[in-house]
Amino acid sequence: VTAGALAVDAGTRPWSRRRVLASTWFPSVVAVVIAAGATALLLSFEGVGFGEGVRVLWEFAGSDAFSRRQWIQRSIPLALIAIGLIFPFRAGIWNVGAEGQFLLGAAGAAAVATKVSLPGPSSLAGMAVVGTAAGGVWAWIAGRLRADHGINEVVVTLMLNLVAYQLFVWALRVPLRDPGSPVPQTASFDDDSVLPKLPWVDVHAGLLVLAVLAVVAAVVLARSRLGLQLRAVGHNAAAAEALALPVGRLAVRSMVISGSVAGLAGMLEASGVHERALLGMSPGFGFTAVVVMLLGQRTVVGCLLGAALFGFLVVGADGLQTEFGVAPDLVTAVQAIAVLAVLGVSTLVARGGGA
Amino acid sequence: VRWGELLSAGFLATSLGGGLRLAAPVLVSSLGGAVSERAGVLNLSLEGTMYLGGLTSFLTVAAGGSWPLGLLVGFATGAVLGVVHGLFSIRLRCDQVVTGVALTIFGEGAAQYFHILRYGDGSGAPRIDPLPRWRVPLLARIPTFGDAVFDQQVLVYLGLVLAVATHVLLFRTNWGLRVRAAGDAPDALGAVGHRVGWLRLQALVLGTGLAGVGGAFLIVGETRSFDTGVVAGRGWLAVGIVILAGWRPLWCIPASFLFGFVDAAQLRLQLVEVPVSPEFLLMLPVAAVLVSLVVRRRRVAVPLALGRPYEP
Repeated sequence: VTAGALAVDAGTRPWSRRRVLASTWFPSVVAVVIAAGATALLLSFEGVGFGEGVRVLWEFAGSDAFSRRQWIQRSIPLALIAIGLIFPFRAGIWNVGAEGQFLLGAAGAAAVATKVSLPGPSSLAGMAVVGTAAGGVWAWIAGRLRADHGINEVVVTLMLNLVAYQLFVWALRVPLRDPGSPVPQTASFDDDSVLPKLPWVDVHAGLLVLAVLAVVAAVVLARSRLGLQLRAVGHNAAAAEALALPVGRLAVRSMVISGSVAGLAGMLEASGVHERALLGMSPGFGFTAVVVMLLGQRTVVGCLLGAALFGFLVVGADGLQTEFGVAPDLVTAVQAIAVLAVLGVSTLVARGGGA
Repeated sequence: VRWGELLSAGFLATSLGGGLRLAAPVLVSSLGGAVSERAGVLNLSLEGTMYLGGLTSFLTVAAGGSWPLGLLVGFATGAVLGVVHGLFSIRLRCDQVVTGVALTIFGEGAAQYFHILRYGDGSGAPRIDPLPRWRVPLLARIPTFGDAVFDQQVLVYLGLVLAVATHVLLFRTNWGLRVRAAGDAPDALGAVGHRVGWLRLQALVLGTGLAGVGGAFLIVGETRSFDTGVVAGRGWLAVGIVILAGWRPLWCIPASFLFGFVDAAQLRLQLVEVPVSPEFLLMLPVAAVLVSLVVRRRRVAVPLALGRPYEP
């Protein structure tokens, strides 16, 4: 088939090879297929058939109300953080510090819940404000260092992760510690500081927050000046600067947005799921969210789908362990394979001139 | 606070000695980071490589292999991850940050997966024997300090030797010159007919291999068993230490010793009831990295093409 024939085909047949290759979603779909293949291969090492594996995943993550609640709750922080990360990543700014921003958001919210005891619903509002601010300030540091001093935000956010982790451990061990607990964690929140459950799905109200924020983010990214400017900077920073776009201010702003959302995710997780802040409350949400965001092709819908997929896998992986003794870390490795596949396929497609 | 104990020579000596020991794994990994980054490839796979390299060397030694063989296996594991890193970051010219972060996620997940595959929930996992020690002649006879500082397990000395070797390799050989050129002026290097991608791949494979050895240092030499989350951010810290050391292997020694010393001291400070939270002490090396980024940013020789894929 010659290039000319392909060009003609592209105009007429919706499933022409060229159309499919040029689609934004092609690399993500291929990545999911490759990741599924890798899972099947790894499962076969342990004598588990692929169909059987999928059946167990579904049984533990989707078959009844309880498991579906686990699935949704696990996907909420991933989706939230990933949606926040779209903002800096569209502008070519790398926030790999969502892990720390999440933890500080959780610690900040826990401080309000256990030390301030605001009355009634104002408690949740106060927790949300402080959690969001904690994550936002943490990301703001990296944004300012990049904007004002040209310091690489990748390194800064990674280092701030390490600092945030130590701060988090300290906060749980000393000022916020539940004196009755043998391990560092806060006291259980009182009823005013626990997110209510949504009536029809039996999931904490963080799902509602996610829904609202997803719509807002989609509109802002697609329709607002900020969204357009971020895309312009990401596409060609030099041209954006020449057009007098406030590149530095955009860097700070997008960093703060993503950090705030990660902090809010930490607050929601502490309040809605654990009803306290505890060590190990983030099994690498910050890094997994980067993977989700990339797999979702930096779109809100993609992030929601990616988070749902990963949430499903992680919850279902517990089933693999119970049923077959397969380590749930299998899922972590598969997530990394998926992101490498997205990366490779996108590059190959772009190189092949398909895009 | 038991001031007498805190200010005693014995306290200083044990912190120095323990610091050297705890610094060794981070030192070797940071050497790997320095080699990769000198060639222009930002290597964020160190954390995951330490997990996977640590695991394979642990499995080797636990299965009856000698510790040098364990280190070699750790190196080989890292080298394989380096080839994968290079396939994406050099051959396909993908983003180096994503490649590194993805490999870290992979390394940590895969290591823990294979550990459970081999030993179940971990209760059946063996603890490997401590490595041989070596007393430095003469120096080990210094009162108080000799036993604490100059009588260490062999890996501590090996780490220092590797630092010197890496320095010589980068700054005293033709290969090192070309590798540094690949990181500073890849276009010029390519213009005079050298294969930039190939040189970068060599440095990346060597560097990631060293990170695998760093993981082996940690598991085989220090913890002697593989636990969930065992690397605990040491690989990320190594990324920072490369910066603190200004991409110079010899400076990686004091930079990683800062971490080791703080880590060793925080354990002992609690014993003498000093009212300082260990978490704040452990922040110090990271804070030093951040401060050095802000303060020295114009005076340090950052590899000029760091993070930029080379397009011939």
